[in-house]
Amino acid sequence: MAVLNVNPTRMEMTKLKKRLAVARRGHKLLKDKRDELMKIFLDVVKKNKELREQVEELLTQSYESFLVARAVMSSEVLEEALMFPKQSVELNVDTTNLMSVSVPKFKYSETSVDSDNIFPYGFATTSSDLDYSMQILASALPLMLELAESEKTAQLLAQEIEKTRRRVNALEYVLIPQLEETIKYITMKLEENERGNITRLMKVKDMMLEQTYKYRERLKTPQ
Amino acid sequence: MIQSMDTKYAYAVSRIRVIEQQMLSGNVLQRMIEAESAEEAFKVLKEVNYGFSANDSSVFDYERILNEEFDKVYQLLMEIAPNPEAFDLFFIKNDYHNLKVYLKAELSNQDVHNQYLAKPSLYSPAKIGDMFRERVFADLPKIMVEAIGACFEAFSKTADPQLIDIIMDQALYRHMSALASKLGNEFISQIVTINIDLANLKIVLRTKLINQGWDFLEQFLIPGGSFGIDFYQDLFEYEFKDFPKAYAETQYSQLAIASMESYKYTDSLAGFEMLCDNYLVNLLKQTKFAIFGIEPLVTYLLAKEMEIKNVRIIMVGKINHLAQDVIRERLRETYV
Repeated sequence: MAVLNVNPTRMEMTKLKKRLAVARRGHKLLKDKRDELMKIFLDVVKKNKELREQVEELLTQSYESFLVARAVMSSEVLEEALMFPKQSVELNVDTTNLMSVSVPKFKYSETSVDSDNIFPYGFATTSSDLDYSMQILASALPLMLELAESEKTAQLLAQEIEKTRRRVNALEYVLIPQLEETIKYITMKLEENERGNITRLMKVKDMMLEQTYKYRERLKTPQ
Repeated sequence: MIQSMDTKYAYAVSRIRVIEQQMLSGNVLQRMIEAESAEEAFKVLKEVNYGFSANDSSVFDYERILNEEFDKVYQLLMEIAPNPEAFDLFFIKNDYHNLKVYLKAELSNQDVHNQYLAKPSLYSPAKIGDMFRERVFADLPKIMVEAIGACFEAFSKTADPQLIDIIMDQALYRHMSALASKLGNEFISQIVTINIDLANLKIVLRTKLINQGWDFLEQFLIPGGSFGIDFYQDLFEYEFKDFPKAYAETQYSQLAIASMESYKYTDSLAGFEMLCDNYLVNLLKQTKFAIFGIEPLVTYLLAKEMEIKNVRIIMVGKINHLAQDVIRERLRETYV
């Protein structure tokens, strides 16, 4: 692990220790955020799966009866029957805050008064299979909107999770070890200096004693 | 048996009798259903020379081939019938259809696409388009003009496109009744009446299925059938299973019983719609041995219409890989 390019001073070390403390706290917070996001994400995905299954089931049914309607009616009559829809849907897109992720929130309202009579065509020349197909499609629409909402939410959450995870990893595997390493390096460097100092002092002390008491000369001249 | 001594139809009838032989029999339709693929089924149509250009078309052009085939029928009838205008009442539904298309396009600011328009019609769609641009409908029959006016008025009040269809459908059947009574042919009047009765029954059934009240149904019902409004008001109060009782004393008693039976098992009106078509085919079969009169020509026209419907069911089914049973269940009886 690379050591940061800093002067091995006590001042620098205090600074680094502060940074390390912040990084540790940030790491813990981000980890919590990631875990919580993960939990929400799993819930959303589960809901998503259920919705998708429901919607697909409904759409299959609807297409099946639409196919039959298509088979017993001529294409012109079918086109005419559906060319001018009776009902329109108003959709408002809002955003809500979910773990500081802005996710879409759909709000929709139908314009028709009677939700049972959604058929824009007369009954004399059309097939009843078409009614059935339309009814199912109408019942699928709210679910489809909900599905769109939750799929987008899941997507945004996934992005956020990825981002958070990258941050957590960067802190955990890069920044924190780097800081630790650097602090260790400074500590060692300082200790080394300290030891050098002591050695030097001992040497000076020796020299001073030598000067004062002249041990060496005394050793040379036999008593 | 319905008999008419109209000898000016002698040539037309004998020609129809020959051409009738070429209609697709139940066996041919069975062969199409059992075909391995949509292409194989389409080959059968090529063999019998359906339409004008079946040979150099792909399976997905079947809709065009069917239109061409019907065009063939139309041209033949126009050629051999001593009084072609007698058939107006069978083609006028296409005019009403085109009017609906133009009305809806006009009121919703859409363009009219060619594939929305039905042919053959008495008034060319281009002419109707011009009329809508200029808002002058003087050249059209009175019933049509009134209906168009009623549509504009109703739409400006409610903005409900369904009303366009309702008003136009009612006008169509009124127009058909009027033309039929002008012709004074019992067989044709009978067909129109049956069409109205069955359409009304279909409307009652569907209204009940979508949980609408009598007020809704009342505006839908088509006047001019065998039953008055009181009959339908009573009928509307009945449960589905009691419908046959209401029809017990009428010509539709068997149809009602069979339809409700089918509804009970399938929860769908598809069976009922098929039985309605079969009812009509069986009526047509009564003219099989007529030698004179317009009846065999009318029969040929309607039988051909039914045949094209059958072919469409098979082709759509084949292209979309529906199970053979599903196709078979929906197939109408054949005339030949």
